[in-house]
Amino acid sequence: MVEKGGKIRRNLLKGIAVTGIAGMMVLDRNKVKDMLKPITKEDLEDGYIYTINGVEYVISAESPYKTPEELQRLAKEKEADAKRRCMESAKEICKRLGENSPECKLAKKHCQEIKVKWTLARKGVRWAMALDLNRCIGCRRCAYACVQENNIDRTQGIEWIKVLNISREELELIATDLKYTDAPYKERVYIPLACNQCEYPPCTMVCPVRATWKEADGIIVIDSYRCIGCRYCITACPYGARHLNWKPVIVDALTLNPNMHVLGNVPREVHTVEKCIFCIQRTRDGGTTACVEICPVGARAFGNLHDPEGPIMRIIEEYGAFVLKPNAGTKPRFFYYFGPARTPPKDAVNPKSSNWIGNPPRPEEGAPGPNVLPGGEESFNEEKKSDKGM
Amino acid sequence: MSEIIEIFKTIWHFIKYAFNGGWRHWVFIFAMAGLGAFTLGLWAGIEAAPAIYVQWVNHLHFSASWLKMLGIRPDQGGMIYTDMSDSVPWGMYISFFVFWVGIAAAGVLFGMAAYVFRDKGFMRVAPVAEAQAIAAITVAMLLVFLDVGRPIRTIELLALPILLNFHLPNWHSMFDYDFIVLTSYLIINIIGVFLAVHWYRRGPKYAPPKWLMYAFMVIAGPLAIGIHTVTAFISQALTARPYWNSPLLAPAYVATALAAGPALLVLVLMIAEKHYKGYKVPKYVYEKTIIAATVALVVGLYFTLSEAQETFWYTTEPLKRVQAIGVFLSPFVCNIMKPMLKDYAFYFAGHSFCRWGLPGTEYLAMLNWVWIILGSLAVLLVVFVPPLRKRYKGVALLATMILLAVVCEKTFRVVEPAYIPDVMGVLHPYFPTPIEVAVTIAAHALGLLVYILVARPVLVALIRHYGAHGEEH
Amino acid sequence: MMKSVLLATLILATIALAYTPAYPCTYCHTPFLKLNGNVRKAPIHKIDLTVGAHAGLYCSNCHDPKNPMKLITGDIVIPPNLASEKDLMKYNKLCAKCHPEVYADYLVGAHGNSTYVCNGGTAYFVIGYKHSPWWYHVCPEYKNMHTVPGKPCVFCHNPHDPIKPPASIMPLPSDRPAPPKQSAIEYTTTFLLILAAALSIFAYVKK
Repeated sequence: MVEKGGKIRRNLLKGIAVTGIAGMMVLDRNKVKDMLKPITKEDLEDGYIYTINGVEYVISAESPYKTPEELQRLAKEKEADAKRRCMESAKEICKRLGENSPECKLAKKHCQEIKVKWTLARKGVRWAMALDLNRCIGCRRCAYACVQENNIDRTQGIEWIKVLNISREELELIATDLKYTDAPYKERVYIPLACNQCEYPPCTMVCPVRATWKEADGIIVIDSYRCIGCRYCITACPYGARHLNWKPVIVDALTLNPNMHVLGNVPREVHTVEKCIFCIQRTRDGGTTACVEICPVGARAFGNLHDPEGPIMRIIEEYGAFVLKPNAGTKPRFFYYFGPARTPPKDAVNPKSSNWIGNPPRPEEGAPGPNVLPGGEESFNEEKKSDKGM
Repeated sequence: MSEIIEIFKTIWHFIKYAFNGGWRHWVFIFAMAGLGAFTLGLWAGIEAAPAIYVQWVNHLHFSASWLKMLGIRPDQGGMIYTDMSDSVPWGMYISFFVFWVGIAAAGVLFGMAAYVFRDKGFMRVAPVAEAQAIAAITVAMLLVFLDVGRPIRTIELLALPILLNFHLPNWHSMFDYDFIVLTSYLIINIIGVFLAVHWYRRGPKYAPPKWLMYAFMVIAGPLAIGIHTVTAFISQALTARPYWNSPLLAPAYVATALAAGPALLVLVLMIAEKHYKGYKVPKYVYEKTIIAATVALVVGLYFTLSEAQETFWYTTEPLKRVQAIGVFLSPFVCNIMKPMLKDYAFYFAGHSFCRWGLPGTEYLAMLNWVWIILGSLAVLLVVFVPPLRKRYKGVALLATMILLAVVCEKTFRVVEPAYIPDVMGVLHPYFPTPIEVAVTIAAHALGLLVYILVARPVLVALIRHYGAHGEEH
Repeated sequence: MMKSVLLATLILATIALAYTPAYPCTYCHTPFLKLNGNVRKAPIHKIDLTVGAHAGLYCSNCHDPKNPMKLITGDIVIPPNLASEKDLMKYNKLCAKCHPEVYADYLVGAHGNSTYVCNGGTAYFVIGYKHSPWWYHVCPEYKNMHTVPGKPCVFCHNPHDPIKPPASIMPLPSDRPAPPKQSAIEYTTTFLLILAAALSIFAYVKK
C-alpha cells in the first residue's frame, strides 16, 4: 500500500510536470518571452506615429484606439451623446424658467457650442506639473475650478483635486485633515493632490478591459465608453486620484464647459471611473490647466518635462523637487517643491515682513519704525547689520 | 452510438433528479428562487438600474419601452445605494467573493483523496465536493457580476472576448486571469461531476475509467489552488494597499480556504445522509476531514500570528500599522499594544483608544478576534478532545465552529482593512447598507439553489453505485 | 504771480486730496513740482517703505525723482483702479530690474499663474461651483491656443508692500452623498430571508 501510494504520488507529479511541459510547448515561445520581459520606459512610450499637417503625433501602443479615424469616430459618438444630454437638461431648464428666460437661451447656446476634440499627443512631449508647497495656502480654489472646467457632476461630491492638510514636520500621508476650515498655518503644509500621471501607473496595469491607459504624452486617460466600473484601478492607485460616478451623471447645460476632449472632460457615464487628465482639452491644444490658471498664489506650474527651457525643468534645476510616495515606485510626473518664498500664514508674527518665519520679533517691532535718515546710505547699512544679527 | 445515448441519458438524469424530490424539495426551490428573484430584482431595479438602462438603450440601441415599463429609469438608483465610496471601493460583495472562492478551492481536496489516493470512503464524497465547488464558483462569479458598475459591458468587453476569441483584453491585469481561472475551474468541475454521474448512475459495476479521473485531477488540482492564488494575486501586489502588500496573502487565502471548504462539506454530507436513507458516508471520512481542516486552520492561525508580528513589531510603515490597528486593536490587548500604537491610534480614536479597532469600523476588529478565539478553540477541541470528532454531533459542532471562524476571517476582515484608512490617510468608515446585504443574499440564495440541484442527481448516482445500504465493493 | 498761482494750485490740491478719493495725480505731480525722491514715507499715499518686504528702498529707486508720475523705466504710473491689465503688464519690466530670476521664472510660467489665449476668443470670469472662481474661455475652435503669463506682477504684489497675504479659504470639500434611506428594503429582505430560511430548514434539515 505504501509503495502503491508512493507510485501514485510520483505519477501525479509526473502528470503535472508533463502537462506543464506540454503547455509550455503549445504556447508560443516568443510570446512567453515577451510576457516575461520587464516593462521598460521605451515599451511604455512606444506607439504609432502619425503626421498631420507636418506635426508628428503619437498614439500610445496601449490605447485600444489604434488610428486617428477610430478616435474621431469615438469623438463624434461622444459629441452626439453630450449634445443629447445637454439638450435634455436645457429643455428642463426652459420648462422651469420659460422659453424666453436668459438661462434657457444660455443653456441652448452652450449645447450648440459643444465641441468634442480628439487632439492626439504630440511627439516628444511629456506633461508634468510642479507645485510650490511653500506658496500653497490650501484655499481649494484649484479643486473647484477643476470641477467647473472638467464638467464634473456637481451633485456627487466628486472633486479630482483633494487638498490634504498634513503636518509640516512629518510630510507623511497619514492622519490627513481634509476638512479644515482655516488656513494656512505655520506648522501645517497643504498638499493639493490629484492624479500624479505616473510613469509606471499601477492603475492602467490592473484595468481588465483596457479602459484606461497612458497616452504618449504621459496623460493617463479613461475612456468612459469602455470602463466597466469594477473599481480595481481605484484600489490600485496610491494617490486616491480616481473617482467613480456612484449615481447617474447629471449634465447641467448652464454650467457646461463646451471645450471637450474625447478622452477627457466629455460628460462621463454612470458607474464609470474618472480622474484628472491634466485638462487634456486645453493642454493638448496649447493651453494651460484650470488649476494653474486659477491659483491665487501662483503655486502651480505646468509644462513639458522634456523642454529644457520649460517651467518644470527650470524648477527642478533651481529648487529640486520631490514626489509623493516615492517608495510606491510609480515615478510620478507631479512634482512638489518648497520654493524660495512662502506665503505668510495666518499665525505669522509679522505677516507683512519677508522674514517672518522662525525669527523672534525684532526689537524695534513695537516702535514706530526706524528713523528715516537724510543720509540713506547709513540707514541701509544699519538694516544690513540687523539682518546679520538675526 | 450507445455512448452518445448514455450521455443523453446522463443529462436526463441530471434534469430528472434535480427536480424530482417531492413537495418538500419544491418548497425549497421556490423559497430560494423567490428570495433570489426578489433580491436580484432589487439589484436590477435600484442598484444597477441606470447602468443597465444606459448600456441597453444608448450603446446597444435596444428599445427602452419595456425597461421603462419595469420602472427602470436612467436618472434614478445607482450604486449610491451602497455604502462604498472612492475611499472604500470594494465592500461586502468582494469580501464574500473571496470567501466563496475559498470554499470552491476545497472541492478538489476530496477529489485528490479519492481519485489519486483511491480512498474508498472519500470516493463517495468527491462528486458532492465537486458539486459544492460548482455552487461556490457560481456564488463567487455572481457576486463579482453584481459588484461591477457596468455588468452588461463587462460581458461584452471581458467575458465574451476571453471565452470566444481567447483574447485577453489586458494581459497585465490579474482580473482577467482570475476570470479565466474561475471559468476553467467551473467548467472542469462541471465535467468532473458529469463524468462521475455518467458512470455511477448505471449501477455498482460501472465506474469512470481511472485514467480519465486521473487526468481530471491533474488539471483540476493545480486549478483549485490556482483560483485562490490568483484571487489573492489581485490584491497582494498592490503597493497602494500596504495591508495586502505581502507575499503571505495568497498562502493565507489558500490555508483558510482548505479549512472552510471541508467544514461546509461535512455539514452538507450530514444533511444528505439524513435526507437520503441510502447514502452512507463512513465515519472516518468525517474525522479525517475535520483533522485536515484543523491542520489548515492551524496554518491559517499561524499566518495571522505572522501577520500581527509583521505589522506591529518592527514595522515603521505608518499606513500599514494604522490599518493593522483597525484589525487587531481590542480592549483586552490594548495595554500590550499601547507602546506600538500610540501615535496613530491616538490621532484616529482620541484619548480613549482602548477600543475595538478604529472608529466606525469596530466590527473588523471584532471579527478578527472572533476568528482568532473561535479558531483556536476549534483547534484545541479537535486536538485534545478526541471523542468529539468521533461523534456526529461533535463533528457538526466542530465543522460549524471552523466555518464560522473562517467566515469571520475571510470576508470583511481580509478586504476592508486595506481601505481604512485610505491611501490619503483619511479614515472613511464602511458598513454595508441593506441593499448590499440583500444583493449578497441574492447570490447566496442562487448558489444554494445550484448546489442542491446539482447535488441531488449526484447523490442519487452515488446511491446507485455504492448500493442502498452503503456496502463496500 | 506765478508763485501765487502755484500756491493756489497746491492749496487746491491739498483740498482735493483731502476730499476726493481719486484725484488727478497731475495736481501735484506736474513737471514743475520738484519732489525729493529720497524719502521712504509718503503718508499721503499711505506708503511706508520702512516696513515690509521692500523696506529699505526709496521712492526714487523706482519712480523718477524729477517726475514721480513716471517710473524709471519710462512708463507712466496709472492708479491701479484705473489701469487695464495690459497697462499693468508694462510695469513687469520694473520688477525685473531687481528680480531678474523671478522674472525669468515668470516668463516661462514657473512663477505666478498662466492662462491661455486663442484667436478671436475671450474669457469670462465666472463664480460658480461653491462660489469659487473660474475662467470660462470662449474660443471659436478651441485649437491653437497659447499659454501666456496670467497676471501682471502688481496684480498680486502691491509694489509698495509686495508680500502677498493669503487669500480666503473656500468651503469644505464634498464627499459622495450618503446612501438614501432603505428601511423598506431592509424589512422586506429580512422578512423574506427568515421565511426562506424557515422553509428550507423545514424542507431539508428537519426530517
